[in-house]
Amino acid sequence: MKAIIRLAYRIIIDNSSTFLWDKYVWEDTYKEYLMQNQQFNSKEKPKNTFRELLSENEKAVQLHYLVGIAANGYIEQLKGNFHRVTDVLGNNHFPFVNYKLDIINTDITDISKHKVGITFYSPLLTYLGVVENHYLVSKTTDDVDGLETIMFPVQPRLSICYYEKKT
Amino acid sequence: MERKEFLRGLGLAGLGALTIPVIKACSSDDASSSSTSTTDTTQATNTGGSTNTSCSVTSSETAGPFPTKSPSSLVTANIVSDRTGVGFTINITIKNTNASCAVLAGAIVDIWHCDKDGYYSEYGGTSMQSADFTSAHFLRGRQTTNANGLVSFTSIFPGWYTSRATHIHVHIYNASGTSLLVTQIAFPEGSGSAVALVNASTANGYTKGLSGYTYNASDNVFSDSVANEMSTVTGSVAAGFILTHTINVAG
Repeated sequence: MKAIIRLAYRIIIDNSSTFLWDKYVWEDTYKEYLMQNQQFNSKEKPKNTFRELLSENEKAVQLHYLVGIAANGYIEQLKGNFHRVTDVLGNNHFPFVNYKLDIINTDITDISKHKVGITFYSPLLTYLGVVENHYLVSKTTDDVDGLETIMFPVQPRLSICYYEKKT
Repeated sequence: MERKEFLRGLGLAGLGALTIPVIKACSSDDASSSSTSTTDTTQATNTGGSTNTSCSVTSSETAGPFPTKSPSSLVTANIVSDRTGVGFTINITIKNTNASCAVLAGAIVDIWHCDKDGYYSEYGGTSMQSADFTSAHFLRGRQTTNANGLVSFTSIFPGWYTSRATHIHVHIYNASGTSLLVTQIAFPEGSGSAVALVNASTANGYTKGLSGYTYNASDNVFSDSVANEMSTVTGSVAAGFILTHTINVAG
């Protein structure tokens, strides 16, 4: 079995996050939400939480993207490698070429309710199957006989998000 | 590992020896050893520390990310990113109706507009799905007005899309981030206008022409208010265009 896949890994950031990187993202995305939500919220009777706002004004769905821009500088600092997910050897990090931030919920009156997810997307990888509960993949997608491979443990919040069958 | 990275990030690596016991005192691990026992007064014999007396370089460790505070990628005067098109400078002056329309310094101004083909940068936007994240944001920017109430952006001339005349979105906040106004900027149109010249410029990738274009009079946003949302646009396709506009807010 050989296929081209893309892996996705999602982290959750909330007020209990301890990594400094997470804290910066948490603080800055909250500040950005406070600014950007006003474009969609009522001035007189604003909805406090994102979920309330979204149910009232579906255009507020753009806030996922707009607030995500505040995280972009921190994502760039990772230089395309998400260090918290390593391969079985422990010295190859999860490579990513794109990301998407989603607001799980937040509250303009209470920063402690602010909670976001960030999904990191890998480049296209050659998928060779699951071996001993590890995704056996290669960063090489060319059709060659021998491939350098890496093995990422199957784990919560690590998903195959794109699959293309190769014959 | 997590704690180590956290402390490093704070620049407290050198204080690790001091800090870790303090943190440990709060950890649940101590719950099981809280009962007093004779071992409490026993001097440690294995005290760690360096026993290496040779003069050699200390082992390296995985660096991992060292995060630094970073302004939003939105804060930029050049909003072109990976987009192409006719050069365009956007100069917006903010004035305060609560101060006899004096210029308003320190106001935060967000702008965004579509690319030459009519697309915005957004999740799920066309031509963005497979893009690298470094080019996922384009034609969106944030600047703070100077002492003359002015913000300037370097961009490309916007294209258009069905049912809308050419426009730029603007959101103005006061210095503390409270929204003052969400509005749009309209463009002069008709023969000889920048809109006509640019959209005829297939050499610069503006391939739609003006067939099916919505003019200001038929535009849902501008039809009732175009007079005070109309900008001045000067320049040429070759040299680029400069938009000048004043927006009044109750600052």
